[in-house]
Amino acid sequence: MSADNPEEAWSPLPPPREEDPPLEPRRGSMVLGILLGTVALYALYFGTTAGIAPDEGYKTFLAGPGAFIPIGAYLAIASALAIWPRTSRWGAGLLIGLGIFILLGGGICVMALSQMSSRI
Amino acid sequence: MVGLPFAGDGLVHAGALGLGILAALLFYAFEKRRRGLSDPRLWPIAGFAVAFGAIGSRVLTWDFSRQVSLAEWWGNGDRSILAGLVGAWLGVHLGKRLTGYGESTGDLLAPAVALALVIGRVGCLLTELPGTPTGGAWGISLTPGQAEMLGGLPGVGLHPSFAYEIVFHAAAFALMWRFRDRLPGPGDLFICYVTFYALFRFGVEFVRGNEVLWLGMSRPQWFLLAILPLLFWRMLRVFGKPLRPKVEGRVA
Repeated sequence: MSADNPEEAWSPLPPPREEDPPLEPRRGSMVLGILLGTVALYALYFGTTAGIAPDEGYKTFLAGPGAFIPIGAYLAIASALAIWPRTSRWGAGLLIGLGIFILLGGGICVMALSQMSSRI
Repeated sequence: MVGLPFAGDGLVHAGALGLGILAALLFYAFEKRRRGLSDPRLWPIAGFAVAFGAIGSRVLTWDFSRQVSLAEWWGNGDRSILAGLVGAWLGVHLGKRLTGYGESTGDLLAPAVALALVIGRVGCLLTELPGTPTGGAWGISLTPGQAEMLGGLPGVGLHPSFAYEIVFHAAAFALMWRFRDRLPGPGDLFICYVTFYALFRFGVEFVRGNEVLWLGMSRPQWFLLAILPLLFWRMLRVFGKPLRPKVEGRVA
């Protein structure tokens, strides 16, 4: 038993703490993932909108069911990156960016469009 | 009576929501550090929660009876905090399953969610239909133009239902901070928060002004009626055990 061994009891080094969790590897930047993901989604959906007409709706090839294709692909890629340990922070950032785009996207786009139309 | 300063202003609403998400992520990072949790899988799990919470807030409110396609609903349909919470819960479980993380994350997430809602609901308070008439000379008053846009009554005091909700979440956040290390089991903090929010939300829906679905109750109230028995059952498990003594220092 260790308590019976005087050398071990007076060892200057503390015993290893097995309960300590492993250090968090910092691979990939989460903040960069958030920024890139959000900006890319805004650029894709806002940039491909040629115009918004009251009677014709959004003039974009991403209207209707097509609107889900980029989001589905983005979600699949971000999830894969988040699961893989080497890119988990990137993936987490991209997932958060997707959430921010979905939650905030409409409000910011509508406001930008209304400000544009008021200047015209 | 006070007025509604930013009725229908999407930028104010989105700004408050964005600040709420930012505050929640910062608090999550702080609380993760305070608890000494350095597992790299915790950030992807938070990412799944945010992404699926956002998707859920739009998709899970889809009303088939209105003859609207999912694509149209996605762009212009209702959004709901309750549906967002369900989506986030599903996202956390999916994230934990995909990353193989087996520990409970509820205690880490619950105060962050409350903080996000305190700030995010300020956007609702400033821009949305506040609630039903108070019947008194107090409350939030809409101009005729605002009433037409938001579907409320002009010139009468309306319940500031979002302010009630802000006070609830602020109190919940303070209580969770006070008892963060005291509840018996992992995840109990989340169960308590969600149960009390469900009860509170059921009550506040009577003055929210949402569309009545059946028997004088709104869609959120019927949803809450369905899940409250499950939450009560989980609460019995929480309070059937003694509280932990306060622990100083690191908590895993």
